[in-house]
Amino acid sequence: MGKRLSYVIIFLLSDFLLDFVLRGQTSFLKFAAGAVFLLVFFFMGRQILSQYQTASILFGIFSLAVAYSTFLSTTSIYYSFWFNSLLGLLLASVLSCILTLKPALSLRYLAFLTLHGSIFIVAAGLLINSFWARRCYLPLHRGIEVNYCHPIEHNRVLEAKEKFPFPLKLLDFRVDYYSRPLVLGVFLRQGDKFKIIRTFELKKGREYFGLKFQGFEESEIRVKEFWGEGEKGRAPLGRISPRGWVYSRQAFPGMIAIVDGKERRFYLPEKGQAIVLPDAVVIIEDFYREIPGHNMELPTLALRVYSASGQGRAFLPEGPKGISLGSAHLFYSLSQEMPQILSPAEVFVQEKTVKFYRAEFLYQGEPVELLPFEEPYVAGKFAFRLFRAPSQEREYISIVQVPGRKMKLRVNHPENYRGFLFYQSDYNPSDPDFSGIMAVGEPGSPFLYLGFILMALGAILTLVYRRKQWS
Amino acid sequence: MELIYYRIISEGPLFWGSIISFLASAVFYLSSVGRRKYKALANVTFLLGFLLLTLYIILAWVGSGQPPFKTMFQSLVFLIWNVTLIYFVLEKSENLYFLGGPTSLFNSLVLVFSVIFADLIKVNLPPALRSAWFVPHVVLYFVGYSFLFIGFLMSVLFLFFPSRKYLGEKHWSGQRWKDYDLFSYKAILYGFVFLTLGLSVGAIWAKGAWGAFWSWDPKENWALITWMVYLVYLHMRYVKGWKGKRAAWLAILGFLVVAMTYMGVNYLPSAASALHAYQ
Repeated sequence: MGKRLSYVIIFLLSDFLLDFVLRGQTSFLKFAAGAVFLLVFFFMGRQILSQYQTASILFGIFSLAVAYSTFLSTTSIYYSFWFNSLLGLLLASVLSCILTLKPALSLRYLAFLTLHGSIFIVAAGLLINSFWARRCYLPLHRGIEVNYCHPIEHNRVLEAKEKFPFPLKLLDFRVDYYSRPLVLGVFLRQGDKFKIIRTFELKKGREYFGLKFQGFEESEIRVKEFWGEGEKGRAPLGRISPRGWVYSRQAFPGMIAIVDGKERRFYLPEKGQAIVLPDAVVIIEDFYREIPGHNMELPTLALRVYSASGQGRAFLPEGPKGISLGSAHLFYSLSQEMPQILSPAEVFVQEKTVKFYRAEFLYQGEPVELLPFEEPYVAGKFAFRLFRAPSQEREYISIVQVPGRKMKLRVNHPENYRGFLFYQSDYNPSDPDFSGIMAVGEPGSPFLYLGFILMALGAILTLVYRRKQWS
Repeated sequence: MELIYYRIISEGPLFWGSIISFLASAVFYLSSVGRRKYKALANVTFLLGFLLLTLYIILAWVGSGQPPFKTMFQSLVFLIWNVTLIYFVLEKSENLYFLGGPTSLFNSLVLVFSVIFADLIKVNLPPALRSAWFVPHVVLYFVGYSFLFIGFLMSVLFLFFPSRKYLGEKHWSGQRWKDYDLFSYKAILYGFVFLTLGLSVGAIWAKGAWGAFWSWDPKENWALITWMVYLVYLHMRYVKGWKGKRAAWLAILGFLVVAMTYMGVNYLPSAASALHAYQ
């Protein structure tokens, strides 16, 4: 009964202690009360806490609590009263266990002390930070000086504003992207569906064989050259079209490739791109699925068609607008109304009744194929398709002015200034003039760095000692 | 199955060559239990599988210009590479020949399984992973996981496959059944040390990337649980003298937690918004 009662008392006391410590309520009265409770806590509970069974049970309970928390979509549990109490109790138990051991001058004790002591240095760092750390978020807009921030509490940015010790101004912000190569996809037919096997990035001058699959051996693609995006300059298609009715407002991101010994020109449309024709404008509204994934079907395009007036400068939403009518219907209409779209040829039948057609444009009198509509090289149970790799972000870079210097902030490269570390935190894709910066001032960080370094060192020393023991 | 077959084939001869080598080595290893006959063949095919996989990883690294540890597919391949290397070192240093069969079989099966996650399009490193800490963090963890896998395997053998049946007292390898327990402990100690190093490096990196040493991210949490389970294992062994069955069960539990940390976490509801969820 006495033991059980001690457990209850220890738990309640540690709850109280850690509640005020970890919630950062730093009034002197509470601190003093906590110190008194701490003494009582150790006096009463040390005998129980210093048992390995107790520590193991607490490890088990804490592990279950952490595991349980990962099944929730909220993180508030980590800042809750009971969770922090449990963590504190565990630390107290580990400390009590360590204190029962007698020091000795040996490799074993050195390894032991380094590894176990590191946990308490880490805990000390956390404790210091819980009192004096400051984390806040600075929403910066290009050219505007900001001298306030939103405090960050429990990993959440609060609405409240606080004065920041010095002003910051965003001078520049940009997002770097990886290049987007043309990609050759190889698909396998399974029933009515085509599933992707793998993709190859197309490189100039390189040959891509048909992977020597059954029924696929003869196909071969060799990229002769790329158009657009630096390789061949930016040549708008329409200006050099001899017939004058095929035009693109944007660069021509395509390629010339040798397919099975025959030279073919490919044109890869981008989302939002317009192809201006004498009597209509075709805008690429969206891709059915732009990024190929597992069990993906062959993607198609959603097109919007507008009539053009005023020599193709004003586009009115008139005419055949069948955005979601399906490619078959849309291209049927287009081929009726626009002779420049040649007779559509059915090249592929997907599940249900959706049909895919090929539209043919001309470049200097030669056919140019729209890649998503190019005839897939269906050979037996395989098919090729060409597309452009999806856009992937490479780096976020902010140039921020603080009094007396400029800082270049990137992810993984924070800058130190007047006791704060500044981090590139986030950005707004729809606002290129915005950058979110996080400022962190943590006086306990040196303890944490030291603690983690000692932890690594202690682990190595433990291994060295054990190896000696084995040999 | 057909899709998996073609995905394996399309990864190229280095990839499928290593699968075939590991399968062959599993056959040779298992056939050689109790006799010396196929030991050399088992070793050669095992080493061949390792070399092919090494080349595959090097070419993937050079070809993409970035360390191939980013996606689930890449990490599974790298995990197998580590398991192979560590097993081979242990076989030579600790005379662990009897584990060759299960290890080879595991390697080939995981490589086949990995193509379910095959990278259908090149995935570049996001800004947070473009750091000098990325490679050491991943490598330390994977070396740790590999040791823990060996420890797990030995615990399974200890519990479920009475080794007397296969390795008698007079077996040519000179190993006795009780060795399983000791080797399991040694492998787990190595694994734990590497986990600790990986955890420390990860915390320091997290401070540089996200501004906090610890963020209670699901992956971090499960890594902590893994670390604690093995911490308890080692302490129970040292202080309470846990050996044999109790220790083996704890080692098995530990590896289940490793599996959860490595793969299971990705399927948790909290994974979508997790800091470690890159793919």
